[in-house]
Amino acid sequence: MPEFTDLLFYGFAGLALFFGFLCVANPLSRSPVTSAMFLVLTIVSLAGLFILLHAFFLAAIQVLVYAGAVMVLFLFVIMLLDLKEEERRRFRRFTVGVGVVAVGVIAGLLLQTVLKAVPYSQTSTVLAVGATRPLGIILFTQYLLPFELLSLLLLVAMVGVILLTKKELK
Amino acid sequence: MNYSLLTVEILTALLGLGVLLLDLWIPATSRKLLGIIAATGLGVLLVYAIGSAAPGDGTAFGGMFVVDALSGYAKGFFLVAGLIVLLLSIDSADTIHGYAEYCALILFALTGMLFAASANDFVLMFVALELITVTFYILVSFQRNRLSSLEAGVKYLILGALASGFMVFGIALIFGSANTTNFYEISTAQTALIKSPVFLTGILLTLVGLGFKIAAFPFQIWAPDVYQGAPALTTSFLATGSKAAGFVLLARVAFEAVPELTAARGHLFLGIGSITILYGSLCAIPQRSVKRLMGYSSIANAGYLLLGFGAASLAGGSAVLAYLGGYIFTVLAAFIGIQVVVSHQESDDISAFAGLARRSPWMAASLTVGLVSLAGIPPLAGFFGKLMILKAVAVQVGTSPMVILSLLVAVLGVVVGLYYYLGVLRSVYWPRSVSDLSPIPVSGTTKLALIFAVLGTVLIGVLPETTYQGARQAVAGLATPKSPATPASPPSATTQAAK
Amino acid sequence: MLTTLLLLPFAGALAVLLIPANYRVILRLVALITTGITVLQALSVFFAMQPEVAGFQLVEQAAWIPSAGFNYHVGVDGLNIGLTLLTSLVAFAAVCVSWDIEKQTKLYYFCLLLITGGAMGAFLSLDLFFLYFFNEIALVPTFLMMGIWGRGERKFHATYQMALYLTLGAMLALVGLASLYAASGANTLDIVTLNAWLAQHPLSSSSQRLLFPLFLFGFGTLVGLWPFHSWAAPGYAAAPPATAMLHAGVLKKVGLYALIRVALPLMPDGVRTWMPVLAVLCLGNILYCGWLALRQRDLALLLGNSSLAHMGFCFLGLASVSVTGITGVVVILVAHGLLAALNYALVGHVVRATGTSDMDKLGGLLRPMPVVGFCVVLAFMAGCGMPGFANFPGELGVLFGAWDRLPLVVIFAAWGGLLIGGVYMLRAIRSLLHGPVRAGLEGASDAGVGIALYWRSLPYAVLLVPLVFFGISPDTLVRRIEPAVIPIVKAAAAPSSPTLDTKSPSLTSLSPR
Repeated sequence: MPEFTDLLFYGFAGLALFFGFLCVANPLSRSPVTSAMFLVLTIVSLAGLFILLHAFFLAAIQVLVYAGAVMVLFLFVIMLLDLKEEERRRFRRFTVGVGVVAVGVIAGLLLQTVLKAVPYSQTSTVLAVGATRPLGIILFTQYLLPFELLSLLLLVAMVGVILLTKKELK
Repeated sequence: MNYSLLTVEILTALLGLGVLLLDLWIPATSRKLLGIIAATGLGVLLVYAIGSAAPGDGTAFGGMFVVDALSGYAKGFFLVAGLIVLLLSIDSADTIHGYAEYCALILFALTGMLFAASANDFVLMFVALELITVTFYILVSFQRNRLSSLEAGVKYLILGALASGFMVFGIALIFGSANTTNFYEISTAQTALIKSPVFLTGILLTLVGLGFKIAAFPFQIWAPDVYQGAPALTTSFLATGSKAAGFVLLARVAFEAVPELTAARGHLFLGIGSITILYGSLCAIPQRSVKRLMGYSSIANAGYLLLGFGAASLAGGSAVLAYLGGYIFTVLAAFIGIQVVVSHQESDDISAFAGLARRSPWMAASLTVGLVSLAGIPPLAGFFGKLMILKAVAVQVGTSPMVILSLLVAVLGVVVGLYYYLGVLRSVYWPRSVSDLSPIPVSGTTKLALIFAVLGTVLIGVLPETTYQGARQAVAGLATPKSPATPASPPSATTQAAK
Repeated sequence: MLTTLLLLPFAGALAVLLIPANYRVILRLVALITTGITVLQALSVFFAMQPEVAGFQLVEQAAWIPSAGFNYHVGVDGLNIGLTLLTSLVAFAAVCVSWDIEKQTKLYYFCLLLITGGAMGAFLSLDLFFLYFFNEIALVPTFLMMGIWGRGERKFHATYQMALYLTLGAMLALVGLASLYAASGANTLDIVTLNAWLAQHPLSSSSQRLLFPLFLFGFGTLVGLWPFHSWAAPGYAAAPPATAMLHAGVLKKVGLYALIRVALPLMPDGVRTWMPVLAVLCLGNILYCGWLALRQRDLALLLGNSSLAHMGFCFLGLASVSVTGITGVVVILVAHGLLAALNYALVGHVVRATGTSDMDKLGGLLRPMPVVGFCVVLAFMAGCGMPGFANFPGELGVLFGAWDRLPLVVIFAAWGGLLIGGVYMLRAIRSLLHGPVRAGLEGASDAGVGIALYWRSLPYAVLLVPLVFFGISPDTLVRRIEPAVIPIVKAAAAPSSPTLDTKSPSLTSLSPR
């Protein structure tokens, strides 16, 4: 049984990475719509990871909100804007080189850490945390203050969006 | 739970909401009133915060929110910065499109800074930082009829989101290895934790996020562009409040959560600080745009502050906070001059400052005080801060060659810094050619802001005892345990006993 | 008493700040009265101080930044008493020669008084934090004055060069001070406490040898120690007369004063290691700068380089580490301060009257301007070390004091310095004052016309009279200076045995604590 979960984990994680890569740098198509679709697949893979962690609520939210609502918004924006120019643009070799070096360094750092890490023993104790009820409890007790502060953050974002997109300049 | 500890934060947020609502009833012709109301409200809050800073130490929300010497110290400066920026904004009330929102956003950003000063938990720290950063995405791109403002906004957004991503990942790793995000709980287990590579990576990634806020070396790339593109008012708040919030949080992480790690890896701070100083100072030399110059100067100053962390001692920490206090007044003093010139000349090229001494002695004085203090020359605040940092670093001489190297870099940085600050002053006092010598009118509110900023810069420079004492207590207070197990009950008992 | 003396210029600056900019005459009067009162106060301090008594007198203390260990502490002894008097006299003379400033008068006097206050504070302060603090206050006003009221095509360049060199020197010294604070462990920069503390707990030899060059080159750059001298001559040539007077006459002396005050007594091992180096460098000042002066055709540049050569004598006296030598240095500091101020005041007048300081275009000036010409002759005589002026006893003391230890250097210095000095000064007198009056210079005005001549000559008199007085009666200075120098020389010559013993396992200080 543990072997099978591990297998699923590697499967979902690999898919998430693969689709994430295709979302950013697809060698076959540079269309933004394709990218958005690959983003949906990435998010679905992530939802699978959440399910493996028994976080069913988060998995559902992930699919409903991100893969559903947010992506529809994305597609609307992409289709409303004329993004043909974006398709034609090519990356310069230097930029790609620098990017690869930077990513390589960070990846190396992380890899080194992960390889050095002591295997964790206490994983099974917090399995139930992902369910709706414990999540709600922890959100409204221990993390109440950041949670409430987020409302202010959302207000700010709303004000900003309205302000920056309002049509007429008085 | 002791909600009274959050009075200042709640009132600031309410003030912001109030300003947003008042816009509905105040006619478009008297928008200035909004700024005046916001500034007055903030002034009252400042007086309240200073008056109540002493007795109310304690924690709330299960140790997540803490009121101690550091939070009191930092909040005073944040409120002053917000007050000065609001006062300064009143002049532009009629030119800023959406002035009420602008004031409200400044107040919301301020709320984020106040929460950041009291954050005792990585989660609250992240949310407070996001509140600040998201607000600044909007404030930076506020002049949306100017392409450079929008460009700056987008740059800040993309790099800021990247930094946030790093930080969230770091916090996740910290939680994964420490099973808590509370600073105090982490500090009790730090000796074991700092041997865990996962935890170290988490801290490192968190520092990446903070490094972005303070514009330290590998994450400094946004600063010049954003400083230049953003409206001068926004830049002044970005350079003071936002940066200071980053440093206060860094102080909390470095000196409260993982002081042992800071002590062991102090040379990392020294190295990054030295490179930051070099980068900021050297890149500033050829600049012609004063706002961009201030961006590089801000990078260089972040380097000096990081040297203070590198000292990893009580002296180093208090030097950082004392420097920061003076720095806020100093930068505001400089930006008052820049803001007035930019809004009058529609340009921030050095040549736009030509003959400012004749055109507006007030603004010339403010700019001079700001720049001279940034250069670190007595009797202004910048000198005292730099001296204390040098002193704290010099104590470490003999532990590593890196210390001597960073001292030499600091000397070089000050000399180079003087060169470019004097370049601006030269244009102010003896320009090569002046086309326009008409006086620049200065309004009463701007003068009030100017008096606050200049007085603060001079007083911290001449009479630094109060500031330095406050900074020392703030850093010393970080070492004392803040147990979340007994939230608020001991402090409330003492306050009742006092009554 | 000393606090009053220190605060007077700052109070004047504040008053200037509050007066509206278009009340020019009132601004001038305020500056004149302030500096005048400062002179009287400095004189009363000078005579209130008891000569032939060691230790600091008229001490005033107050806690300032107790949590950082910095305190307000002023006092006078032989080292600084003459220099405070010098500061007040030069400031007064500088205000006198500034009567013709029309541009931005308010800023001008504000800067001038700030420089005065800074110099005064630097000399009076016994806490090194404040010494540095006050010395640096003067930097930006100097920069502004040079920039706004300076002259010459190379003004921008010279101004920047000077500001950056001075900052570099000051920053090195600041790092030195910070390291001294850290290394001593006394938790103070108070010179009295530090002296007592370090006499008990001397610094390790290695840290002394590391710290000493920071002070030597840091403060040395402020004075124009070769090879960090190149800012001085062009800088002073570009500065307006008052700034050049205050800076060359007074502020520059802070560096040497601080070296005598700090570097010598606190770091005897550093002295032993580095003084031979200084003895060689001072020859650079005396010979190289003297040679530069010989080649100059511009009066201001000539005087600037000659002033650097004089500073070379001061460094020689320092390197001698003898009572006679260092007493001589302090006498030179006062004498050269008066002389440099006088020189730049006179150059300022010549430039104002003729429009140039190029000696090829000047000649026969003694005829149209007899009073100024007379002063120039006296000043140049003093400059080549003629007996009867205060420079003479000072230079003599330096040469005598250094003979025991550095005979070879003294031979070079005496030959080079005095001979070259004589040559260029006499040549300057000849081409400037004698010979036929150059065309166009017949109408060049003297200090003033009629009754104005008297008060327009006042600044020169204010500087010349003490120069001659201290020359005739050097004892007035020497018997005040000597008691202060003796303990310093004793401390500088202290044996290094205890430090070597205790600190021989210096590796322990490198291991993590």
